[in-house]
Amino acid sequence: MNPVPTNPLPPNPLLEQFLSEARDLLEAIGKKLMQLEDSPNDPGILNELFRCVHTLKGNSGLFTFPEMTRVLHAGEDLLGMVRSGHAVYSRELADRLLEAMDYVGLLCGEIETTEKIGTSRAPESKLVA
Amino acid sequence: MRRILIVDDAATVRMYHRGILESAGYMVEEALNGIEALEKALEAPFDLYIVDINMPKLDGYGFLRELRQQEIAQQPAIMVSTEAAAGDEKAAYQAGANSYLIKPVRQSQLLSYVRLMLGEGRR
Repeated sequence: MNPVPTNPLPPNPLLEQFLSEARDLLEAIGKKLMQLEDSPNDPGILNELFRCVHTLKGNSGLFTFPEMTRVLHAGEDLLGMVRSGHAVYSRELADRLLEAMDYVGLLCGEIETTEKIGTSRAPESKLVA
Repeated sequence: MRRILIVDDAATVRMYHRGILESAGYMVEEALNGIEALEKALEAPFDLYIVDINMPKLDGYGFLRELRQQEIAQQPAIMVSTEAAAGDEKAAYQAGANSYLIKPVRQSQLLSYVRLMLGEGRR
């Protein structure tokens, strides 16, 4: 019989809550981006999308995850520009946001395994942002 | 025991603030948006409100404006924002906040402001 795998890290309820909420928010962000493809001028969807990215960024600030916060901050700024009419929502912009959120998902996976983000991610996150 | 209502749509932030406040001996309740917060406050006013700005249904500004129109609910409120966006602080005070903090709020800072707002000395 195979031994039951155990997590070598002690439980951290706040971090577990963060990762759980991050997964939900990333899923919601993906859905909102798809909805915007059909209704690119819908301010309600855009506001919801902005709020999801904003919340995830705020949550990441509770931990020492500057790489994640950096990427989310850039995404929030971009959406803020669209909301204020200083940028136009486009397929290219949506692709960039999806790419950034995929990267955030990747970082979440890394945190889940090691409770931290590797130092090698710093330059990478600057490129994504 | 003093009762504090945390109003924030982010579950992680609520959990973080709750942990700090409960460990300092406060009784904490939560609301996920301004509408829910208003219902709870009107049912039984709290000693202090800690309010996020950006929330669905009714945001922090709207909640405080509504709250300040009620005679029974004039207790202090600390508004918390993710960043120092231009105009946010002024808007918070105009809506009825008594104090304004930028997230992430560190434990010592949160407890200092809570004690100040509640008129408590060092405990």
